[in-house]
Amino acid sequence: MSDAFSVIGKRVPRIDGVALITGEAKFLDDIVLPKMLYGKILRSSYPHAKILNIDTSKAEKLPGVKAVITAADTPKLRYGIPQIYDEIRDEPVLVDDKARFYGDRVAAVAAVDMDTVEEALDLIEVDYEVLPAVFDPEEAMQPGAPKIHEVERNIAIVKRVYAGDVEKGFKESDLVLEGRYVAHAQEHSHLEPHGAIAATDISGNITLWTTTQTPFTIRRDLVKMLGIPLSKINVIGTQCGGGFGGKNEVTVEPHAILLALKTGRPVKMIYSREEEFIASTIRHPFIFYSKIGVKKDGRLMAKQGRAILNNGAYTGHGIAVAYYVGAVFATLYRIENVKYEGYVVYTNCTYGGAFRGYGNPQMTFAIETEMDRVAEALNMDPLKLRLINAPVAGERSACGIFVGSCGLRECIEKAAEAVGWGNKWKGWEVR
Amino acid sequence: MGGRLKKFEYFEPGTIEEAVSLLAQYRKEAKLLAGGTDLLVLLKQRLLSARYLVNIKRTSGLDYINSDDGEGLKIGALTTLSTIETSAVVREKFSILAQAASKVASLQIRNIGSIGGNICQDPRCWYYNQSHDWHRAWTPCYKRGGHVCYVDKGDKGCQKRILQSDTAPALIALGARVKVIGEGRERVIPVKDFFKKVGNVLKADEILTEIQIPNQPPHASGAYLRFSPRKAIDYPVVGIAVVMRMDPEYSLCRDIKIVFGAVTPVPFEIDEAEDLLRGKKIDSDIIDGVVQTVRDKVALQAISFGDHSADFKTDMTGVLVKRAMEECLKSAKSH
Amino acid sequence: MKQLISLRVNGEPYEVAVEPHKTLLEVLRDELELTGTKEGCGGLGQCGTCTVIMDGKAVNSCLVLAMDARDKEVLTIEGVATAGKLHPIQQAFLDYGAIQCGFCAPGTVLSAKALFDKNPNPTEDEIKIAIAGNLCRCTGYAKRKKALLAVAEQQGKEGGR
Repeated sequence: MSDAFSVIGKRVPRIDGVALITGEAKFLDDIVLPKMLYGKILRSSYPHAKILNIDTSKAEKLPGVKAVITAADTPKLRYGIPQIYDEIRDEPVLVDDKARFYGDRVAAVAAVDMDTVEEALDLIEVDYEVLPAVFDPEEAMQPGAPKIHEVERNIAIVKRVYAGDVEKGFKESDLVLEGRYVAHAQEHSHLEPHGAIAATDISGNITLWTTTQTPFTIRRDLVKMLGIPLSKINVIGTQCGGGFGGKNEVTVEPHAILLALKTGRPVKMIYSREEEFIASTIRHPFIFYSKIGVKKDGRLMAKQGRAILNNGAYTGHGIAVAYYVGAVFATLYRIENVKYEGYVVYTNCTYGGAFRGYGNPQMTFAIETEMDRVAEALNMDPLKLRLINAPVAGERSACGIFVGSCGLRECIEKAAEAVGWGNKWKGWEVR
Repeated sequence: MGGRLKKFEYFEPGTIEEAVSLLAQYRKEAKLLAGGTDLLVLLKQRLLSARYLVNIKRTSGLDYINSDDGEGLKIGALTTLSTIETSAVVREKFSILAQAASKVASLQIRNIGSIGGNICQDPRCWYYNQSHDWHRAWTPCYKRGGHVCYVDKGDKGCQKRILQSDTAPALIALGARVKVIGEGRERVIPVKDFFKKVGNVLKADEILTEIQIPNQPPHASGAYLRFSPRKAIDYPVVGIAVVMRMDPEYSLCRDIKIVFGAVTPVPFEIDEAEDLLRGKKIDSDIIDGVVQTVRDKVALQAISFGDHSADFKTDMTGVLVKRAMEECLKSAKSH
Repeated sequence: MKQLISLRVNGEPYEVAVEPHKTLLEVLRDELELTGTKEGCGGLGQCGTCTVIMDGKAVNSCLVLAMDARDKEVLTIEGVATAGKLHPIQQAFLDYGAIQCGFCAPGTVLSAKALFDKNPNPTEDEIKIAIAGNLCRCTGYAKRKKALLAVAEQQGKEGGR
C-alpha cells in the first residue's frame, strides 16, 4: 500500500515542527508591536451581584493608564453563538446590569506596562449589591431560586429528541432499569493561555492577532458583538499553544479591540492561569436521569432520558452540547423508542463551552455504565449485550442521524480477541 | 494575577553578620531570599510583601556538606536539595534525607531550592495559599487579619496551616539539630523543637545557617515515603520518615522513629507506635498493631487540605507506615 | 533602581540594565527578545515552560531573579541547535511525534538536555525524573519518553561515558 502513494502511509514531517522545537515559532505573547499597550479585565468578586455604579476616575488619572472602558463604551446588545438552528443572545462584552459569575467582566484597562495595569485595576471602584447565588442546576430550577437571566426556572432552552413510543417499549420490556449519572466539570488547561493583540489604523481598520482554533468564527462573532462591518476586521490566528475546544470562543478580543480603538495604539491582553480557570469555558457538568427497558434476550426496547446541563452564567455552546448529548443517546445503541430532553440550565458558575467530545464523554459514560448494569441485571456477558445492540451501517437512527459507516461491532470483536475476553470472562458472580 | 513581583529595595550581604544586621534593622518589612522557590511564589501571590529583600545566595559560608567521623554531618542551609539528593555521603549514611530531598517538587525546583528554605517554608492552608484575586471574594481569615478560620470554624486564631516540608520529618527522625544565628547570639535547636504550634521559632533577626545530623548507629535502616496527587510538582499530602535500628541478628527492633509530615501543622512523632516496636521481634501482627495505633493517633489531629480530607489522610498514614516499615525491614536484611 | 548586569546567554555575552524585582524569564523574553522560553502558570514554578539551563542545571527561570543570573552561563532553547543542525533530542522529538502544540517543547528539551549533558545513557526512570517538572497537556508524555529512550540508546551505541 505504501509504495503506491507518496504521502499516504508515509511519515511526513510537520511543516511547523522545526520552528516549534527550536523555539522560533511565535506564539501570541511572543509578538510585540511598536507603542503596544497592555490590558486586563476587571472581574467581579461576587458570583451574583447588581452593579450599582462603576467609578473609573482614579484609575484614569494614574500615570501610564491610557484608557478605561465599561459597558457604556460598548454597543447596547447581547450576543450568542449560533448553534443548530438556535441562538440565545444573553452575553455582554462588559456587564451593564449585574455580574452573573465570579469573574464576570466589569471593566477593562489599557496602560503602558503590566505593573500599571494591575495598579489601575485596584483603583476602579465598583458598588456591588450582592445577590443570592445558585451553583447547582437542579436547585436553580426550583421555584424561588435566584434568577440569573429573565427566563422561567433558569432554563435557557430544552432540546428534545423523540422517536417511536417509549411507553409501549417499556410495557414490552422484561426489565426496566433507572439510574442517575453525574459527570463533573473540566478545564482545558492548555499550556498557552488565551490572549489577543488588537491594532487599529487611522481609518478604524482592525487587525487582531489571537490564539484561537477558529479565526473565522471569531471574526464573525466580533462583527456581531461590536457592530462593526466584516470588511473592517482582519483576524490572524497565531501559533496555537493548545486548545482542545477551549479556544473556540471569544475571551479578550472585543476588549482589546475597544481599547485599541480608544487609544489609537495596539493593545495586548493575556489571560493569567487563574483567569483560565474562572473566566474561560469548561466542559458542561452533567446530571442525567436515565430509564432503559430491555428484553430478556438483550434487545433494547426503550430509552428515556433527562439531561440537566449546568450551563453556567451564559449559554456559550450549551445548546449544541445539549442536542449532541441527545443525539448520542438516541444513536448509541440502536433503539427505536426513545425520549430525550436536555435542559440547559443557568447557574452562577463559570459557563460551559466546547471541550473535545462536546457532550460525548458525559453521555458515553452514562450509556456505557448503564449497559453494564443492564448486562448484570440480565446476567448476560456485557460484550454480548453490546454486540446485540450495536448500530449498523446503512441505518438511520431514531433521531434521524444516518449511520454511514460503523465499525463498532468489528472493534469490539477484535478487541475482545486481543485481550482474550472469551477466556477471562467468567460471569457476573466472579469478581 | 501573578507573574510579576512588586518592587523592593535589594541587598546582597557578603557575610552572615551583615545579613543578620539587615534583618534586625528592617525586621518584618524585610524578607530573606534563599533559593526563592517558596518566597518568590508567596510574593507573586501577594500573600507576603517585602519592602526590603535580603538575598543571601552570595553570602559566604552557607553552602557545604561536611562529614566528620566524630561530629556527624553538617550541611549549610543554602545547600540545594539536588546537591543533597545526589551527595554520596548523604545517600550512604543518612539515606532518608536524600530520599526526602529527592521527592520535593521537580528537578528544576530542587536545583535552586535550599534545604534551609525547605525547613523554614511558610506553612500552608487551602484557604490561604490562593491568589490575590481569589481572596477578594472571601471575608479575611485570621491569617489575613480577619476573624474566621475556614478549616475549623471553631478555631480562635490561625491554628491549622500545615508545614508541607519533606525534609523536616526526615531530619527529626535522624535526630538532627539546626544552628540559628541572630544579632549577637547563636543557638542550636533540635529540629523537633524548631517548630511551634504553627510555624517556627525564628525571630525577626534570625537566620537558620546549618543543619547538624549526628552519625547514625550501625544497623540502622530508613525510609521516607510520601503521598501526593502527582509524582512531581505537588506538595506532600502525607509524608512519613521511619528510621529503624535492628540488632545484629536482624530479628529484634532496638529502636525506631516514626515521624509524620504534612498531616498536622508541624511534623509529629508517634511515641505510642514506637513503643509497640522497641525491643520486639517484628512480625505481621506487630505491624498491624502499629498501623492501628498510628491511625488512631492521627485521626485525632489530622487536618484536611483541599481535596484530601482528614479521614483520607488518616487512611494514608496507615498505608504508608506499613510500607515504610516493610522497606526498612527489607533494607535491614540486605546489609 | 536599575543595575547593570553581565551574563552569558547561548554563548554570547550580554549587558542588561535590570531592576532587582525582575526575573530571569522577564529579562530573557522582554530585554533580550529570546521568546522561546515561555510563561504558562503565572510564574509560580509549576509548569516548567520557563525552564532554562543555568550553569549546567535545569531551573525555572520564573523563580530566578535576574540579579542571581549575573555572571552565569544560561542556555535557552535558541541555543540548543548549533550551526543550523538540530540537537539529537530535538530531532528525536520530531521523529517520534513528541510535540503537538509545541508550547511545552522548549522547556522539556532543556530539561532533557541537562540530563543528557551529564549522563549520555540514562535509564527510563532517570528520564522520567528529569522531565517530571515539565507539564504537557497535548501529548500524554508517552512519545517524548520513547523519543528520549531512543536518544539514550543511540548515544549508548556511540559509546557514551
